[in-house]
Amino acid sequence: MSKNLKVKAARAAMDLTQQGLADRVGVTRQTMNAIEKGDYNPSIRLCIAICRVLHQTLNDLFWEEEE
Amino acid sequence: MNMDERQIQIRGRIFFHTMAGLIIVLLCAAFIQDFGIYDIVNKIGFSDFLISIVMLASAYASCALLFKDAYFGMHSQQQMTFFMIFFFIITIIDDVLFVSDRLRGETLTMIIAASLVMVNAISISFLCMRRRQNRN
Repeated sequence: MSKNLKVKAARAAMDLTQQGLADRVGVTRQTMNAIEKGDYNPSIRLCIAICRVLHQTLNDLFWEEEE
Repeated sequence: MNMDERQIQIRGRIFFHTMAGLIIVLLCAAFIQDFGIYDIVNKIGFSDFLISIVMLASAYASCALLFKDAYFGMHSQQQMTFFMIFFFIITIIDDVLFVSDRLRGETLTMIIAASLVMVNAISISFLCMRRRQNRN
């Protein structure tokens, strides 16, 4: 799985740390790190929670364009 | 904070692997005993063998959970430090007892070897975890 740079960019744009975002969505920092690195495929519930905190849509953060 | 979805998923996977491994080892042991390849019951002892296998399985599960950040009950840095110190003390006691036993010329049993492997493996895993967290 490729890295999710969109989540990382959106998080950085809101000046949030991995720990800060993780606390807000109710997961551990390691899980946020795994999502950004593409090591973990989050559930739709967690994706929505991340989108809500970062004020983005699911398309913005999690949709991968076909090459 | 409870475990998050990734940690629950990892725990399930690791417990499954541990249980599957345990079943395979027990079946192999049963065949080895039945075919007379090695007399586990008389040479090691039935209960000693079972306890040792469970210890090794729990060592694997603990180390795997630690490396995947899904170890039980570690919701904060303080709790991790507590667990780490607790395991270090147990490891030191176990290692000292092992060395004193060897100096007295006592034989190394499977259960002692398994307990040594278990506590040392968990302590080293804690150490690696801590170093990785400090690096991040």
